Amino acid sequence: MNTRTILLAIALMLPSAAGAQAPSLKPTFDFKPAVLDSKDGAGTTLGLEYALKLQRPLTTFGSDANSNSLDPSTLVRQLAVSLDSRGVVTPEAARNPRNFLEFNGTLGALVSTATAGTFGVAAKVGYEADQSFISKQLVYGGTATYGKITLLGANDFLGLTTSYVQVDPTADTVRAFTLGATGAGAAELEQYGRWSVEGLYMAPISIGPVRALELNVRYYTELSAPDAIKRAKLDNHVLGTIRLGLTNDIFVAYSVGSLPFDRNDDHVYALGWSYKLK
Amino acid sequence: MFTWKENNACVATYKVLEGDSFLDQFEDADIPFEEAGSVKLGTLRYFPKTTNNADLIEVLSFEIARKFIKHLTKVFTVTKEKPGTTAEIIVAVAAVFADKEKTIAELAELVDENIRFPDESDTQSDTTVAKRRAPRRRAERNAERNTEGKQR
Repeated sequence: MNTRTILLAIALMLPSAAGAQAPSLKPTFDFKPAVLDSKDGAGTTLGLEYALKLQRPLTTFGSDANSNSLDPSTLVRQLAVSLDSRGVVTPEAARNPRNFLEFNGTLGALVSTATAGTFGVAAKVGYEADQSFISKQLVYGGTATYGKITLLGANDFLGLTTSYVQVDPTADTVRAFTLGATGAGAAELEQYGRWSVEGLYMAPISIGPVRALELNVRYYTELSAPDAIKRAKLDNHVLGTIRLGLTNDIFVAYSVGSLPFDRNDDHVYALGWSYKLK
Repeated sequence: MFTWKENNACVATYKVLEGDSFLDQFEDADIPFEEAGSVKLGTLRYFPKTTNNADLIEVLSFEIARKFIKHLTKVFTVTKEKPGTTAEIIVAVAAVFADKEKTIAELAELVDENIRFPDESDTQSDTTVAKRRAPRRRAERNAERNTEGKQR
């Protein structure tokens, strides 16, 4: 156990800046404030967790245009392009326990079936950086995603997404230091392959005051990592989160692990209350 | 401008979202019908709270959109409101479910625009039918008052 950070998530459902969107160009915004209190000596700071997405469907394929009836079992196939970004920012980067920002562009295809779930594949180009943009890297590759509702019980959901990307570390100070690359060498770090997986499981349950269970795991691994990277434990990152939704809109959550650019594992406890602004 | 009220689209949307045998996204004791229109979809049970991965949210939105349409067709005798494919309707509904800032009223508006309920005419959406109903109800009430007046 290296660093213990208390995350008090105040889900105040701030008004969104999304506004009206054209049917074919749908930006979505999500901003959520968070108070982070690190017991590692960094004090307390206010953070902002954000997620932005802009998607444009290119075409949708369907087979019942000549019928007046609705067919919920119809096969849905879609091509779309999208831009998205997510991360957590704080006034001081050193206090940010989730110091990893992502910016991605994808061209994807999606197939949704009646009984076997929904599948998606996409080609991806991305840019990853820490909050201060001192460490940054380009990534390009592909992703595959699968999701199925009502898998084990009524209205539960299992989602898996995996990607393989080639990482071009344009400036990664930690990696450069670990590999002994300094000066001009720091700017010429070799590219490497990275495989990542993210799993999500959600289920409504009714055990005492518990009403919902949510599990999320994110795993990143560098393929054929140099020994120095392995010794510094920079080749693998795992972040796991469990969240229990309770009655009266109260929730408790615990997460442990790290993301790329994090040097230490963080243990993050969250206790919060969701308040719906009307 | 779409208004949340007791018309087919709003009632059907509420019933499918709330029903224990349907999507079971909230309890009617917590969110009564009158207040449901302004509730954001991101507060409902289906929307993940531990991740904002766009790919996962996208497949989830398609799964729940299909299930939403499936329950609508099982409980209500509905057809398409305008030419097009069911796939296009599922895509449109999925886009709403994927946006946590969208409200239940906006979902009902999409239902109203794309799905026709049994008592709607060929050229009218459900909101137009609701307006047409009001005058008849007033006429019926006036007729009742006149009858009661004569009886006294």
